[in-house]
Formats: sequence, C-alpha cells, structure tokens
Amino acid sequence: MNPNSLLNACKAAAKKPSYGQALDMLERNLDSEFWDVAKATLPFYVCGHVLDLSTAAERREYMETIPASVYPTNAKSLIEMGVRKLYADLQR
Amino acid sequence: MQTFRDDLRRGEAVEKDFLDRLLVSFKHATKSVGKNSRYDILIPELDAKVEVKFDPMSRETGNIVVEYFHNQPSGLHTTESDHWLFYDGVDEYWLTLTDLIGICASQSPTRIHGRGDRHPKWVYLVPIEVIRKNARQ
Repeated sequence: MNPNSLLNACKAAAKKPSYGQALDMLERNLDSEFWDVAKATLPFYVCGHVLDLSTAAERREYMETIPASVYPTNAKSLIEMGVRKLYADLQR
Repeated sequence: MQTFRDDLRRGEAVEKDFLDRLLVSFKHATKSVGKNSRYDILIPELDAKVEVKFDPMSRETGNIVVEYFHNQPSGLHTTESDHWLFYDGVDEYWLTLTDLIGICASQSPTRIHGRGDRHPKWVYLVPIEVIRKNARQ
C-alpha cells in the first residue's frame, strides 16, 4: 500500500466524531495487515482534530470516547500530550 | 563506510559520555540495561528518564528521525522517557515528551527502511529548525 493512502485514511478517520468510529473506519477501509500501523498513526492526527473542536466540553467528550483498552495502549495519553503542546503553541 | 554496528557503537558511546556528565551532578544516574529498555538513562534524583538519540545524519538531511512504529508500536508509543536528548554530533537539543509528540502531531509521518532493519519503520522526519525552536535550554 502506498504510504499516502494509509495517511489519508488516518486523516479522514481522525475527523470522525468519536475515536471508536475512527477505528471502525480504518478497519473498513484498509486491509487488515495495515490496521496496526494505521492505529499507531491515528492518535497523532486526532490531536489536531481535538484541538479544532469548539469548546473544552466537546474536547473532553471526545477524549471520553477513547476506549480504555485501546491499541496502542498509550494512545490516550499521547493524544492528551499532543493536544496540550498544540494548544500551548496557539497561545503564544 | 559506516555499518549498522558502527552506528550502534557510536550511539552507545554518546550515551556513556552523557551519563558521565550527568554523574557530576547526579551520582545515582544510571544507564538502562537490555536492548528492550524504554529509556536510556535514569536520574533517580530528579525522578526523570531520558532517551538519548544520536543522529549525525541530521546534519546532512536537516531532519531528526523520530520513530513510532517498527512492525509494532515503538519509539514515541513505547517510551517511558519524559525527556529526550537529540545530539547531532555537534549540537544537543533537549525536549520534553509532550513537546515532541505535539511537534510530530503537526507533521506528516513517512515510511523508511533503515540499515540493518528487517521491517520498515514509520517515523516523523522533524526539521532540525523545529527541534531547535522547541528545545529547552
């Protein structure tokens, strides 16, 4: 698979209203051999999506859609850190 | 020509050199043991773990390589280090894990096949200027 196809799939999935829907979209649109790398790539794209949500409540709500037993296991903390850094950059 | 083994040896020498410098101030600092360790140096006095990345190629390419998937989650996904030190052979840059993840989240990843690697790696090629701009003093 062309890396760009995989990245485009992750970018599109990151815009879904919940993390679970994003994961479902990846599994629907990619061959199973690419699921792991796609799921490892998704959290980085989700950071920008969460930051783009209009209110803190919406951002919190989205974060709550990330399953407790997600793959990779650090996905939620990675997204939290990424959003924190992107937000801090915006405030500068 | 540099081999994978040479790269590894130089990387380990950089870690050792950095640890020696740290030991001047933090006498309990230690280097991790084992190739699957999720940090390179532990500083108990600061409750801090440090990942040391020696990337001399970045002086030619202009980019620092930050890995996150190598046949399984790796690098940014598996690290326990809250501080990352990038050394290009001349300059060193300190970043927090939070800063590094945020930087990567605003870039596009790419797939590379490293020397001596059986599987391709998914990485972020972060411009050295971006690293420099975000580095802590």
